[in-house]
Amino acid sequence: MLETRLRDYLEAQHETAPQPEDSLSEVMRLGRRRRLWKRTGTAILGAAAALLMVLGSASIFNAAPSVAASPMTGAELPVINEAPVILQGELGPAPQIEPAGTDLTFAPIDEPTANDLAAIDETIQIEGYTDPTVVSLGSIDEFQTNVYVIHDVEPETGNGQSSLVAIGPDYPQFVSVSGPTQNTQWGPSSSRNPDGDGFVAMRVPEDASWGYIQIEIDGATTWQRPSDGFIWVPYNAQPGETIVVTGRDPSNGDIHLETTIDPIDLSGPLADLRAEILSLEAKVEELAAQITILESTRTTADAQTRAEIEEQIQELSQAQEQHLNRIRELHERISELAKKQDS
Amino acid sequence: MRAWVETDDSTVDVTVRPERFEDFYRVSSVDVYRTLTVVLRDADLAQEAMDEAMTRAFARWSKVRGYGNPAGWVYRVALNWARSRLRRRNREVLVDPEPPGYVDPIPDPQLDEAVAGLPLHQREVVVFRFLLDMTLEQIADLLGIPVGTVKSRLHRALEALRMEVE
Repeated sequence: MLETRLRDYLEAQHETAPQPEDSLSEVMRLGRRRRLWKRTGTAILGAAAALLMVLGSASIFNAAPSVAASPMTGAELPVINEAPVILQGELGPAPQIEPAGTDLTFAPIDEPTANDLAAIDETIQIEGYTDPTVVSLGSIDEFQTNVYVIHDVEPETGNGQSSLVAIGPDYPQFVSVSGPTQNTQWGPSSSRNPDGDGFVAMRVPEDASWGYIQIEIDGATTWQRPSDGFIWVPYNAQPGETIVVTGRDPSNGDIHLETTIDPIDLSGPLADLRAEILSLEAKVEELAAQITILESTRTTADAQTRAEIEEQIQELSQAQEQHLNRIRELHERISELAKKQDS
Repeated sequence: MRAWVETDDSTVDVTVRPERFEDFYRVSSVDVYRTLTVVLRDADLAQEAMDEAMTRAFARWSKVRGYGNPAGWVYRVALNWARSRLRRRNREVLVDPEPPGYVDPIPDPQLDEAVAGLPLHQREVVVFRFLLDMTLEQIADLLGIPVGTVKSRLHRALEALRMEVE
């Protein structure tokens, strides 16, 4: 009887499978980091997008590519200075994406249901990047509720993408998509959140089976396991400080990368603008919370109260829009200042 | 036989819902991992998939612990993640399929070869049905697909296995 034989076979396979590594502490460490991003909320998302735009034009990313020598082969390994280009977009149909200029749409795979949203993180199909028939997948980290960072979107050109997308309740929708990055070589990149804390991201080869990788920062050694092709190294950099990052895979021993990253100078006018953006973002958040509360009470209110509530919601929405307009102006101002700094 | 639902002699209580994530991890991780290993036939991928799914579960534990079946959620996320990873891997490099990450004597080599030949979407249904002893409805719920799809996948899988071993 096939079924009985199948049960015996599967049971035996299950019993002889190895014990898993005890990864609880690592799981919790990564989970906490993701939760932290969640808690920082929309304010950081907006400001981070602005800062990424700034960083994209700042010297930290535009510095000439440098090289590091492989201790095993002596060959020069390219160090990639990634320059994410964030294209702001509205929720809704996908806009044009550079550099291909073709539509990019996000659609789930495998007949998803609404319940899949919780589990869909890694199952995103991207069609039409270079050809309507091309299907590419991106690996996704949750950034905050309904907002995801997609790494390594791989169109058939062979280049990857680092993308920032939002997947809302009416999925698929998105906010913005970045320009291309390379994904097959080692290289550092860096970014910062608006609080001045930062991290160094080192990309590792996708097709390698990496274990934990040794990281050295300023003489301190830590270990990290690559996640979606990256290792993330947190640091608290001060303007002008130099960070040295060394990555090494002890089991392979053939990768060694050392680079110096000069954090962007966030002092002066940029810092003032940044502070104003954060303040406005907080106000927008507060208004959004008030609107949500009002909306929740609207359905159970009588006709007169409902009209009053709707009036209040409209006023709050207008105030929110004014703040958002000001935030956009500040983003533009930051971009202009960054360009001047860079030149 | 593994037990999907709570039974007196269950060795796998995947419906357990501890308050603390640490307890959930301790109770669930071994069986989640081993089942993923059987489904994916790749111990390293199973470990990565479980770690990723557990990380996501921990990041939103306040929600996940309230689900009817937190371990089922972890299975689902892990399988989605692994499926995505396999697609990417297949697209990048055409190589021979990786062997399972464990080398214990194979209990039924003929059947093993036949199971290995099943597409992942059929193999996972077979494992959930015959290893975890889940009902068709439970499998449908876990994978987020209609019961009819579960039935057809199971039917095709068993048909393919019969062709190979009988």
